[in-house]
Amino acid sequence: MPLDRRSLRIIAFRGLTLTFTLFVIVLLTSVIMGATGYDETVLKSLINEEIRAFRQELSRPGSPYTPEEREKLVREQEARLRQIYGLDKPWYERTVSYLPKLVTLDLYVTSDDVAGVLGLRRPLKVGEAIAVALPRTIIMITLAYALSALIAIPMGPYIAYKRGSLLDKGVIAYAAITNAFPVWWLAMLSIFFFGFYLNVAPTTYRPVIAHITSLSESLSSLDVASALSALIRIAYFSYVPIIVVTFSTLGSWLYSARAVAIRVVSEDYVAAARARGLSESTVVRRYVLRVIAGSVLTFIILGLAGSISGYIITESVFDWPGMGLLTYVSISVGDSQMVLAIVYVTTLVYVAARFLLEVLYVILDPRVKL
Amino acid sequence: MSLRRAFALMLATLLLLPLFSFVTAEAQTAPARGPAVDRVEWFRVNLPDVEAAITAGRIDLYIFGRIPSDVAVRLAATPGIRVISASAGLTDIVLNPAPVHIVRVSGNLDKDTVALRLGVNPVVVRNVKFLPAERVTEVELCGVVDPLPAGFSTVFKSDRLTFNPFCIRDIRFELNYVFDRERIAREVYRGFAQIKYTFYGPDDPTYTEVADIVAKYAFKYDFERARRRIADIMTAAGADLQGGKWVYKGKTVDITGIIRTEDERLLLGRAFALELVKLGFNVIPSELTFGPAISIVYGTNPIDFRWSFYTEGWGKGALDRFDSGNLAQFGSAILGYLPGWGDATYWNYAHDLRIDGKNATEYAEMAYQMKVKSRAEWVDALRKGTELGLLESIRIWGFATQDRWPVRADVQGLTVDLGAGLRSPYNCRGWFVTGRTDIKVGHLWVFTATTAWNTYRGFRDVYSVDPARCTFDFTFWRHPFTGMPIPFRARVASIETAGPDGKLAVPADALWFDAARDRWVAARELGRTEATSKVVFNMSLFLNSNWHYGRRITMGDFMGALALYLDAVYDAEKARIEPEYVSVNKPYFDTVVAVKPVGSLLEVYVNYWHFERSYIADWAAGALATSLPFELVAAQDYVMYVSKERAGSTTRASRDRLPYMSLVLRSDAELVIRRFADGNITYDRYVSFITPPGASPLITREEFAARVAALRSWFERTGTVWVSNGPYSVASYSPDEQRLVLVANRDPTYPFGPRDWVFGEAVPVRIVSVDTPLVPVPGKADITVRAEGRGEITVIYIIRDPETLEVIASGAAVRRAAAFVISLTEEVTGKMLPFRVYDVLIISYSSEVAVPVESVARIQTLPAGLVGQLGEVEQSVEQLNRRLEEINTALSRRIDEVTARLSAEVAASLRALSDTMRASIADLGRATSDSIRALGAEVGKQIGELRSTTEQQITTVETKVTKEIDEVRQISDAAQSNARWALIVSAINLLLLVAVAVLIYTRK
Repeated sequence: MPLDRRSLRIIAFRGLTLTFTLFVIVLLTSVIMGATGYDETVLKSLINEEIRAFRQELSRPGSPYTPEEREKLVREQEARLRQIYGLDKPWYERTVSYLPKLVTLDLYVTSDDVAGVLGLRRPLKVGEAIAVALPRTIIMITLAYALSALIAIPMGPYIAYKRGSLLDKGVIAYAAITNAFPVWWLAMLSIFFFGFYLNVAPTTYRPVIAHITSLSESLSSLDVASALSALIRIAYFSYVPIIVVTFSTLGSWLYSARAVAIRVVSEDYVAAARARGLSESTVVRRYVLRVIAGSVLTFIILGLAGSISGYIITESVFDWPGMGLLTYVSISVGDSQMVLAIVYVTTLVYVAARFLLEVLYVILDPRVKL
Repeated sequence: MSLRRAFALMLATLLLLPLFSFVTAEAQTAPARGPAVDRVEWFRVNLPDVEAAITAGRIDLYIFGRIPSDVAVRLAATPGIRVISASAGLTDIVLNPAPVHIVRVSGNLDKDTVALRLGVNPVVVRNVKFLPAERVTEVELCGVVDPLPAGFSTVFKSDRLTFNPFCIRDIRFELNYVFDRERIAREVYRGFAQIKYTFYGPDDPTYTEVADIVAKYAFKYDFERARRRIADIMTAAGADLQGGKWVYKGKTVDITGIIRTEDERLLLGRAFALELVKLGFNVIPSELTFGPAISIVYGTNPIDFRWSFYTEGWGKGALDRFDSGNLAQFGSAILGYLPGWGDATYWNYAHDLRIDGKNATEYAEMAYQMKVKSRAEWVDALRKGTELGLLESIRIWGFATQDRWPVRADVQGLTVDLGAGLRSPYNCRGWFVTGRTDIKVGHLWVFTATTAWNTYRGFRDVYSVDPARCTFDFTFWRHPFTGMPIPFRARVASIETAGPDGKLAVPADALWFDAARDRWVAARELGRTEATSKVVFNMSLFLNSNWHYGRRITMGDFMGALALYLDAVYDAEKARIEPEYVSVNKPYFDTVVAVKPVGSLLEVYVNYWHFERSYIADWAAGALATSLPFELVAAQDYVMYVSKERAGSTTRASRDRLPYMSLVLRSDAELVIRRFADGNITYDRYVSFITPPGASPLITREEFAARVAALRSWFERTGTVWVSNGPYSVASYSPDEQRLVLVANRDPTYPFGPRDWVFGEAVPVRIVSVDTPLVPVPGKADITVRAEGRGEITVIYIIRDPETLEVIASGAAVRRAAAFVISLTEEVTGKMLPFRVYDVLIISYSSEVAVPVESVARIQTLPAGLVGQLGEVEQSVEQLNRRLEEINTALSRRIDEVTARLSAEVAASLRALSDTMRASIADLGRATSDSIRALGAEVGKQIGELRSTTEQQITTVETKVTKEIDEVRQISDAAQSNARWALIVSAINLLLLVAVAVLIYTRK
């Protein structure tokens, strides 16, 4: 569908605004981490821990060092560590210097805890860390979101159509209940129920990492048999997490889709269409779905974009180290380069999603066409 | 062979056959060599899943000891599961003693003068220090002094607090009385903790050296005492109690509490915070997890006052009979664990208390670094340092926490190590489940980013150390129950020492590795002519066996590894590349003077002395520890120092952005194999490390090549290059799956069998009884203690005033026959008051179990004369008792006689009576039978008569009733008829009445 010049100008302007937003967010994050002294405090405490252990080893029985010699060695080691962690530079120099490299994710994870949570070791580039964590989150969270969306979008208008019916009331109750229950709690229950009680699912989900790696290797070497085998194993490890996340998010999706559709089904033109004797499915397809498409797309695209941030606790419960855990550990240990990279990537995905929406609004919304 | 001989042989074979089958069966159940099971699988089990995993049998044991106490309690009560516990952690509350105001004044002034000139009570002055360079006195103040008198200048003044009560030592000390240890141990730790008053406690063998010091400070919860004394100090310091809150210079006295949330320390910290609130402090609690908490406590300057107290937790190492590490770590500054943490940019705590002119850090240095001449001097330093630690109260000690390891009940062959618990390396050698050939071990992690299997600066976490210890044998290790060093796979042939002051001559043919020239030389060439001690090790248990891949262990492996490690320390270029390795290991290697291989013996000369000889051997054994074949140590050397593709330490890994080398990871193993294959790691490059001067290489070129080939096969089979000499080898390692598989080393040359290192459970000393007499004051008295246990038992005692906690006497009880006697002399009892009760603390341990047991008894004192009189009374009572016993015995005898006679008579009478009764009963039976029959007939007759009479009466009654009914019916009919008539008449009357009324109305 060709776009007119005005639309293109609007889209370009939105694109520029979003890019600026991305830059501001990343800059603000780096300033917050640096200016508040958060990363410096955390890194310094890590250095202190290492220095204490170092001092202990220098002071063990039989040590020939005088206190002065020992102190000199400790200071040298401390200086080395300060240099390694970048604490020999002021915060603005340290954090702002990261920004140009951030665009290509050419920064390094500074904490072993961050690398360790992913099952990796340093040296590790932040881009590699995200590349490892992201597919894991997509398999569990994004896939579940997509599944919820697939169920909710056709069902939402239908439920709205049957407003006040038993089905409608049931969906409202289901949405309320699943909203109230934390996902991680359901995750724990599901591990015990499916894994330990029914014995039909794993009790330890960590090995999925090996199969995701294997799938990736098989695909890159075009080894279809191995890829299929890895895929089956991934399915075995992921079906419970996907069911849990879908079960817990579906209520909100249904409720939202219903809420959007309710406003439309009570419009006069819908009533007129029905009065003209059009079939229900035609009315829903032409007069409801088309109108709510913009809002629904917003839900879907922003929901999917948001899902890449992962679920911190649920990932923990399933021992499924994705983006949620990566974010949590990075913030906890003050790995500013990793934090910046995560903020950058998640914001970038969000901004891209928003930009896509801006384009799609123009194409899909009849009011925009008018 | 004659027919007879053939027949005899056949017969013998037939007879021996069952024996062969027995041997085979035995071999199946208990392998002759190697560990008890064929396979051990380690995998990650997250803490929340442990309970379900072990209950469902997914794991046989969980080797990470920090499961929550409530889970441990539940599991302990679960059938089929037991929970092993050992004191493996310590919990305390560290206080921030920093001053809020630091001022300077010219001249060298003492504390009282400074206080006088500042116009404050001396309690406000924490410390004064003369700075000679500037000729000023620096004064640390616990409260802000504003305005300052003339002559003083401010160096630092807190913008956060006006007063820090924890800066005052006496207040810190009193806080010991508001920490309700007993309640917390009972209700929070639910029995999985022992109370500690200082860094040494009953969980520790070294405690026996300082028990009488600790006994003086056995703080009981006494809020009122603490409140009163703290109030006095606060008031003296110038604070006011307003509305229950302390106020200083118009501001509340704030306390920021950092409370860890992950374990029992949450409740413990809250309880402590509540007590501080009750004392009148304005407590701002902050409940945080590890990362944020340590970043505040250890990552900020104490004078920033981001924290006032913090709930610390520590892990413990292996049991150590003579452990000065706790004093060094918790009571002194030498390891950087006092507030300020040794960071030169922070304010650092300085001791303001001394005993005999030395502070705690000075005593810690003496004890920890063996700067003593005798055991007595070491103990003295330890005792004084401990007392200073108690008095300074930088840490309010709470508990020795017990790690908890759940194990399925069918797991056998375990050693419950009193220091390391289930993590003890003895366990994997002996554990098994009957009927199975494998064991499944759960751990919190199998791989983390700092889990590295390399012999330089690897093995820094429990996730690598725990499984790796199953793959190699130690030369020396610690006894699981005594904490004493014991030979493991090396044997000690002899120990000689001239220490602490003398020296032994180093022989001319002893060797040392010259790192500058990369070769072994005579030690004397390098001026190494004398050493303090010499230990000769017999290495035959190593040398007569194979590495995992089947090649024989040689002296070249030990000499080569030592040479490479020495080169890493003393070669300037290598030292620059891995400085962390150098800093950590140089202190040790600096004490090793020379080595000398003689056949299967290895002599090690060291400049080290300890009053226990086994500690000298343990120290020297460090020089010959190698867990890898020589070519693998060389491979590590190559990729670390030559090709610089891997780092041996985390520091270098971070600095040079290199992977932290781990020989179990496929990528690193591949690298090593590749470097062998492409001819970079060669025999020629490393042959000088295994060649003594003037001798042939200890490993031949052919052997080297064969080893490389074996290593390649090993890699192809296992995906790792971790080859060692212990009871298990690594079969596979998957960091992604968090899984490691170990398989048994069944090589017939392996020296140990499955039961060789099983110690079982310790049988600690049991104090059976304590007999306490009345103690004359002054006078003599003996307290008798009966104790049971294995080995040589030692009983020490402490007599203490329970109110003032003053120690009256202490010492060792003397063994007499089957008991231990504590003899109280007149000198001791002379220090006691009459009519008082005193505590007698009994502490006992044995040569087999060094962890002590404690018991408290009480003695009653009386004036000597009264005890004498009581003694006479006691004698009379005893005489009376004896007489009574005699009478009792005689009486008993007489009673027995009478009883016997009576019994006989009664028996005869009973027999007669029995006969009579039998006859009478028979007669009675007959008579009764007749009577019943007669009675039956009579009753039948009477019943018949009664029936006819009754029937007649019923008929009469029926007739009468029928008649009565008829009459009633007639009356009723008549009444009905009358009623009908009355109704008709009434109706007529009513009609008439209506008619009359109508007429009257019409007329109107």
